Amino acid sequence: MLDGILQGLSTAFLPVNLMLLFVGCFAGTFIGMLPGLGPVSAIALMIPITYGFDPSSGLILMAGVYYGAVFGGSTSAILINAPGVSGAVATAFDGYPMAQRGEAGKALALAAYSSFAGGTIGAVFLLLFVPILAKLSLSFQSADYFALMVFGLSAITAFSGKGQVIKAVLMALLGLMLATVGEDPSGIQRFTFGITDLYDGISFLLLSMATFAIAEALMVVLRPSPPSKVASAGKPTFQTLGSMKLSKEEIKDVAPVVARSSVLGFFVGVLPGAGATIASFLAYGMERNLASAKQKLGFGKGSLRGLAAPETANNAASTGSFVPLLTLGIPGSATTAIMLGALLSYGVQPGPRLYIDHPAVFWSVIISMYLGNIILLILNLPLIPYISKLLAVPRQFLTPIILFLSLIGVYLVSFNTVDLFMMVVIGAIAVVFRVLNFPLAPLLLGFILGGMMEENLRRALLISDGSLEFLWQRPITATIIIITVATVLIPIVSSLRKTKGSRALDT
Amino acid sequence: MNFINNKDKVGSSIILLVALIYLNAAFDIPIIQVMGDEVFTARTLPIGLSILTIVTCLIQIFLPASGAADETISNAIAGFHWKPCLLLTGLMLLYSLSFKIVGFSIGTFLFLFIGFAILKEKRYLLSAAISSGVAVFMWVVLTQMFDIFLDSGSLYRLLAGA
Repeated sequence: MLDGILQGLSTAFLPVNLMLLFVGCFAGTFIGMLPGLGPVSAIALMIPITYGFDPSSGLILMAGVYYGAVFGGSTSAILINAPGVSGAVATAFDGYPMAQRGEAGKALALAAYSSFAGGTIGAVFLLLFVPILAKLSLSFQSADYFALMVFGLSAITAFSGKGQVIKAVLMALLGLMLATVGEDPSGIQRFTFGITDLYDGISFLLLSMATFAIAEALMVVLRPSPPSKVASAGKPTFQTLGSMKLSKEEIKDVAPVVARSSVLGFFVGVLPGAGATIASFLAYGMERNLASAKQKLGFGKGSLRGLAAPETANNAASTGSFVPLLTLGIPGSATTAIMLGALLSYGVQPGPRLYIDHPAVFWSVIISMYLGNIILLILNLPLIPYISKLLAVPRQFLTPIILFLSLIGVYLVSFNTVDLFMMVVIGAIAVVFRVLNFPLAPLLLGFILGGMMEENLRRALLISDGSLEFLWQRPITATIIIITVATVLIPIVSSLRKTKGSRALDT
Repeated sequence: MNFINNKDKVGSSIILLVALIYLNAAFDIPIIQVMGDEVFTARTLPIGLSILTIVTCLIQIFLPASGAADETISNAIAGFHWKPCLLLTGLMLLYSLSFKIVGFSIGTFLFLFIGFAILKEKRYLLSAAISSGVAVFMWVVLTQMFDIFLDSGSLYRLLAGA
């Protein structure tokens, strides 16, 4: 382990990797600040650039972009009440009121410190838990992997929000179906309809860029801006940033909040599908419940505790979401799903073997996450007054440029204009699903897990001679399957009960 | 609750249609009987997936709709700016279809300039400056720094006699 850490340290501290991390944090902050574009779009936009890099450098850049985008989302939430990412919605509850009363600088500084603390504690947990989990998962067999992938998908659907469970299941199934296009593991062409461009299947990059970057940019154009935001978009309502200093009493007040929210955020982030949004809301709710009656009144009106809790939790959750990716090769969120796709395209298979086969990649990513936090703090605090001006870039210039970068990003990987055409068509279909309120993240996760899931199912079925007994033969598999069934059924049953209850009340 | 005005029902119906087409195509997947492959063929997963999808779609379609106003399509799309969105989608299709003819630089300039105009940017000189700036900057970065070949387009080759 020590050798691996040293290898990771030397890789992470290479000047080129430090520069990539710096660039990633800056680019991520910028992209994350733009309403409508979040970490997923930011990372998707980076993938074509990283194709020529070695896996460590590529992942380091993406980790920087991820952190930067999460922080950037909070910046726009605080300054103009337009969270760039869903994980920053709870940040706006108290961050924006602070900005309105002339404390934008303090709110941004507190967000930066909280993010740093959340990311730091998360990175320490990652350092402790990942090697243990990776060692444990070395004993996993195909049946366990298949069960784990089903669990990953089901957990994502279960956390998808009220009334969204079945829709998320459908989108995950659609993603799995898309994954079967092209050559199957035995070399047979499926669903290619004689089109040679489909022989290798649909490119993961194409799908992720179409469903996130293009669809998001088109949705920004399509949606009417809410009246309150029209007035403020691009024209921050605050006049000055104000002081960025926090008093000793204020630091004392938020320190326990940061500690609690970090732990909560990390463990929520580890759960597949839960992610930064749920973590930030849970932390906000927890702190509100723990606060005294007097402190409770301040929530929603610019409370420091109300700002520190979600900001810490969403960063700790971002770190936690790397646990299933690095140890089991299963992405816990759309962002880590894109990173998984990128790793596979570099020829690196994430999972328990990553720790053994590619220790430099494994450790350099973990170390870079911590370095990313430091860089964000160094970069963002002095640059906040300047970065906030970026919010004034007119949308009519930004959107076509984002669309162009998405198109050219895919073209530079395949040099095939048919891919561009397919991307636009898939992007338009994704917009239809967005309008119909069908979540797109399960689609991407289903698509990425599809190939691995089929491979493990095939192997497990061949070993068990076609019998489904493999699902309950091993205690690990049986446990995962039971958890999966419970994860899927509990939200469905509770939502059916609620529907029944509300109908009974109506009659 | 009007069926065709409900987001969940319409979305599920679209996926149901896709799943039926997918199932039909799954039966056309050729099967090579290699020893040991009988248990799991190239058709196994697609057929399983389509059946699961069809069942899930039917559950969603036949579940009683909540009747909430925010579930209706008419409410969801109220005030949407369809025209610029459709025009931008058309512009992207045009860009991808004409890429080999007009080439990277001219194509990118035109894409951005028209894109800005679609989003109601009236300062045409500024639009032209930004479009050409981005096109030239990207061309320099990609071809000179990263040594990537970018097609100059058949139109340019024809005009330049190359």
